[in-house]
Order: sequence, then C-alpha cells, then structure tokens
Amino acid sequence: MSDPSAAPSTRRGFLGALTVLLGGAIAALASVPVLGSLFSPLRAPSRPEAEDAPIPVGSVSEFTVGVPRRVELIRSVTDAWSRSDATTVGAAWVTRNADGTFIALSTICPHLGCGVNLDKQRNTFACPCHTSAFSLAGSREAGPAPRGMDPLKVEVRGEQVLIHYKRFKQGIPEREVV
Amino acid sequence: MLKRLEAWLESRTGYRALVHAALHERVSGGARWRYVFGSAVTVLILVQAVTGIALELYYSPSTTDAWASVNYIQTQVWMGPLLRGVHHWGASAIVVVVAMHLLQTAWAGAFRAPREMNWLAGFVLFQIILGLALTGYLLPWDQKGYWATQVATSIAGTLPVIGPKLQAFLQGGTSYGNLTLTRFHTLHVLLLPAALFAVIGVHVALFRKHGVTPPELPSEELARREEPFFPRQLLYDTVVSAVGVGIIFMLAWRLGAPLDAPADPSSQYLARPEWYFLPLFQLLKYFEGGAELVGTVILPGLAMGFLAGLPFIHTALSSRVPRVHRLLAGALTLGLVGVGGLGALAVRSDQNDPAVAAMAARAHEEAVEARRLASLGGVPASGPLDLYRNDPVVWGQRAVVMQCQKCHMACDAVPYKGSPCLEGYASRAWISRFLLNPRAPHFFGNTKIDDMEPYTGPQESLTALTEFIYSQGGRPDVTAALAKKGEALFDSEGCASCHTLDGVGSGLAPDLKGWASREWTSAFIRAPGSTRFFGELNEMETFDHLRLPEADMQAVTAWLHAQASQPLKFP
Repeated sequence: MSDPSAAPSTRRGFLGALTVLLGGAIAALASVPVLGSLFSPLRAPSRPEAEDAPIPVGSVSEFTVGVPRRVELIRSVTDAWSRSDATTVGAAWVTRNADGTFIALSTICPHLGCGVNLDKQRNTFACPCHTSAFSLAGSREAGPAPRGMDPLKVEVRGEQVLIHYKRFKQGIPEREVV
Repeated sequence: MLKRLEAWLESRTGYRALVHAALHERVSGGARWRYVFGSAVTVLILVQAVTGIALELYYSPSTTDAWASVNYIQTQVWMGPLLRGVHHWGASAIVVVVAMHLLQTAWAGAFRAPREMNWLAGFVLFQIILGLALTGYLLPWDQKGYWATQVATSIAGTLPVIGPKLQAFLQGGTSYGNLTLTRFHTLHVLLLPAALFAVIGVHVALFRKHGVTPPELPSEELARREEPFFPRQLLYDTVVSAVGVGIIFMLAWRLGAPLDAPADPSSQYLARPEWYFLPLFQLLKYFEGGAELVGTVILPGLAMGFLAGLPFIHTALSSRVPRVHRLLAGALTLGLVGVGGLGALAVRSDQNDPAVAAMAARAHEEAVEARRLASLGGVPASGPLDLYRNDPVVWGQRAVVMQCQKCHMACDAVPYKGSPCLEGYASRAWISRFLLNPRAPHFFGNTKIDDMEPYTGPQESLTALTEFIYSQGGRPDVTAALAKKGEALFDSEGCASCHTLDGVGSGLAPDLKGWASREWTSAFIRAPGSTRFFGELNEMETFDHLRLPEADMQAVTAWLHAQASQPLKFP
C-alpha cells in the first residue's frame, strides 16, 4: 500500500463499488419513511369517514308542501387531525311532497359548482352564474348544465328529516360521487 | 452515445474537475478510521434534513394543533412512527458522533495553528446543533417538551439585567403559547438549519485548505503514506455512516419516538430534559438560591469558553510547556467525562426515587389515555386538552386530581394524612370498611369528626347494612332482598339516631337518602355545610359554580359514581 493511487484498477473499482453500495443503502434506508409518509395520503384512509351518517335538517312540520326550503347541512368534520363540531359542509333545497315524501337537491350546480337559487316568480331553480335552469323536481330545463340537479337521499325518522349528503363531479352528464 | 453526452456535459459544466477535486483530495499520512466522524455527522445531518422535511409536511405549529398533528403522524401517516423515530434517534446520534469528532480532533491537536479558525467554526456548529436539539423537542407540544423547555427559558430569565426581556423575547411573550411555538419552529426549521449548512460550508472549506491533522510522524513518512480521499477514506466514511444510520433505524423501528400527553399548563409534571441536557439539569441541583447562576450560566459558560478558547490557550502556553496540546486534550476529555458523570448522577438519582417512577408511570398512563381519546374521533379543533372532556370519567379524574386531591389525597399515599380518600368510594368494600372503623386514617381519622362509633354487629348484619347503603347510589347490581334486610337494620342498629333518610337532614350527620348518587355528591360538593350534610361539623371547603363550573362538576360526580366499581387502593 505504499502508493495506493497506483493500486490495480480492479481493486479501486471494487472499493468504489462497495462505497456506492453502502451509500445506496444509506439513501434507501432514509427514503423508506420519507417516501412512505410523502405518499401516505394516496393510501386508503385507515379510518373511513362516516360520510353516510345522515344530517338532520329539521322536523317535518317545518316544511310547507310544495315549497322548496334551503337548509344548511351541518355536521362535525374531521380534517386530518382536527375535528370541528358544527361545520357547514353544504346546503340543499328540500321540498315536501303532498304524499309526505321529500325531495332534496344539492345546491351545487352540476355545471361548474355555483350555488343554485330558487326563482320564486318562475317557480324554477336558477343558477346565477351561467343561467342554467331546473324544474322544482331538479330536471334540467335550460342552460349549459350537463344534467339535472343532484338529488340527495332523504330519510324521515319520526318527525325528523335527515339528509345523506354527497358531492358529485361537475361538468359531466353522468352522476359520479366525488 | 453516453460518452458523447458526458463530453457535452463536461464542456458545458466542467463537472469532472469538481468530482476530481472532491475525490482526490490528498490525505496526508493515509486513510484512517479515526477521520470518519466528520463525514458521519454530515450524513446524519442530511438524514435529519430529509426526515425533517417529511415531518414538516404534516406538522402544524400552533398550541391547538401541534400535539394533534404529531399524534396524526404517529397514528395515521404511513411509516409515520418510523419517520419520527429516525428524526428522534438521529438527534441523539448526532450528539454522540459530534462528541467523538470533538475528542478525535482534540487529541490530534487540531486546535493548533493553522487550524484555529476551523476549530472555532466547529465550536459554532456544536452550539447550533445544541440549539436544534433544544428547539426540537418543544415542537410536539407534549408534556415533556413543554415542561423541559420551560426550564431552559426560565434559565434565560434568571440572567442579570437582560434576563426577563430575553425570556420574553425567546418565548414571544411573558408565557408559553402560540408565539413560543412559532418562534421555536422558525428557529428549528429555518434559521438554525440555514446557519448549520452555511457554517458546515465554512468548516469543510477550511478543512480542505489545511487538510486532516496528521499523526505525529516525520514528514517524509507522511508523504510516503499519503493517498487520495477516494477510494479508501471515502469507503471508511461510508461504512461508519451506514452503520450509524443502520443503528438509528433499528432504534427507530423498535422503540419509535416518544409522545407524551398534550401539554397542560395546569398540571404537575416532572420536567426532565433529553439525556444530552441532563448534565446541565444535574448542575442546577447543586446551586440553589442566590448561587443559581453558577450552575445555570457561569459553569456552562466557562466550559464553553474553554472549548472555544482552546486554540488561544494553546498559543499562550505552548512556548512555555512542551507538548501542551496533549495536556489540553486530556483536560477536555476529563471535562467531557465529568459532564457524562453529571448525567449519570441525574439518571441514578431518578432511578432511586420512587416518586419519580410514580410520576413517570402516571405520565405514561396519561399519554396512552390521550391517544386513546384522540383515536375515537380526532382531536377537537379547540385543542387537545378538550380531548379529556370526551370522557367524563377521565375529565373527572383530572378535575379530582386538580381540585380535590389537595385534601383527599391519593389513597395509596403513605402515611395517609388526608381527608377521606376517594378511590373506590361508595363501593361495598369501602362502605363496610368505613362502618367497621370510621376513624381509620383513610376515612375520618384525619378530621375532627369522631362522633361515629365503629360498627360491632355480626358480619351478616354488616353485609346487609352495606348493601342498603350501597343501594342508595342508584347502582344496577343491588341485591334487593339484602338491601331490604339492611334497611330494617338501619333503625334497630342505631344508625337512625343521627342519620336521616328523608333528603332533608338533621344537621347531626349526613342524610343518607340517595347517598353517593350523582345528585347527592353534586349537592354535597356545592354545600357540604348544609343541614342535609355535615351541618356544623363540616370541615370541607365549599365548591360553588366559580370554583367548580357545572361541566366540571358533572365530570367529578361521574368519576365519583364510577368509583363504586373500583377496588380500594389501601390495605
């Protein structure tokens, strides 16, 4: 070893390869938790959120037959580590039918997501952004909306009206849950 | 193709010269294992940097969110516990390897000319690393970080003249809060790392200028053995770095990183710093009262002054004392051993103290409890302390510890010197033990109440009376027939001469209708001196709505009610 720089190139190559191997091992080890946590949000949540828990919106008598009423959908929301009670997650137009059933329509316009209003003069739903119009039952009547308003499942438990809230993809004719 | 690409890259960047300069630095006297520590620290610092960036993706520096976000990393993030573990053990490993690097360079005499400036750069790096360690463990905002860091900022506060202002500056105010977290966070992830990498740049540049401090051999021998950094020295460095990272991984995998219960400013917590600050902590014990500053500032300051001043001390002495650098390295080693010894003393005194073990056990229980509550549905946006409100019994326990245990001590305290102890309260065992000896220390023994006579009737009657009194608390598991029998005995055995059963009371002794039910305990705590309860005999403080808000009262009564199914904690 008097002059290592003159050592046979095979030896230098071997030591070099060993160094690269060990350096690679360090990098690989460090990458495991770093990449694991980085891509963690792409994995299915280990604690699926109670998306389907219906949200109470009032009692049956609060709704007049045939007149849509806008209700806010309020529930507790867990955002990563933080749980907020009583957060407004959305809104719906709820109409009580003569036969005691209910229709609930998401206020989110299926076109581009504006909030759909009730046009009391014409007795239709109207989107203020791009003039889409819908019947009180939610079907599309005019404008650029690719489909009718999105219905939400309503459940009546005794006197209480509950809504199963969902969000749908906008801008496509099909109804796809987000 | 590849060759042409390389040639193009070389012509545009000149990278080959860079690689050559990096790999073919001459190592005077040849490659040695003892030169590896600097490179190893650098690798470990890089691991801290990448794991730190990954942690930063999830961490939120606010008093309401910090603990919750760290707990989220721990429980929800894929590989999260491993990530925290690597960052946690990496910090400890850096302190260890830095100490080895310090010892190696000191024994090589690297503080001598011409390397004085590099010694100083190394000293600055050492301070930055300690700063990173100190600012890091506050960030989870758990009990340990909160209380241990309080000690450090309080020390800053004891400095003469500037102390209080300095403390407020570091904390971002007069007490700990959001501003403390944002300040420590900024220091830990921006300022100190930026300073660290900048000074590492200086340290390495100066090292490249002067080279390694070679062993004391004739210069022709050093020249004969000289070799380039690549391949041998680089391999040595990589081997040791890989072993270091491997050990960190094993520790992270097997032990993870600790996370205590969320910081609670109202709690009592045994503040113990990380192990590398234990020597400082131990030093505090020796200097009390006015001499405090000696332990907190003067001695550590002198030690650091000696370390920083080594090159100049050497210059001053070397003309008079031959080979003084060995002496100085020896003194430094002795100092480090002393520091280690102080740390060992701190560990040993804690190990020999059962109170420390008890508090550590309680801290562990609280941590488990907090994490269990968090797993039930996330941490309230109002902060992790409100977690405890999710479970009235847990919240009640905390309220009892804070409010009631000033007098009603924990039952297992020896000797027991408190008011009647409450663990296991109103259980069958508690009632019958009480009836047999109301003046025992765990009952009324430490109060002025000595009017009640021990029950001396037959065991059978005792059981029946116990069941009757137990039944007053609204318990689901009452044996009705036995309780009925006990009710008949209530008059004949003389209980009724003092105790009433009408919910009104006589002022002689507590009315026992609904005794230990939630309504009864709530009314009792609000007005223990009313005629329904102890009347004139009462010694207990009154807890009105201001001292114990209704929500806390609910929790306390829930806890007390739950005690009936708990075992007694005294012999």
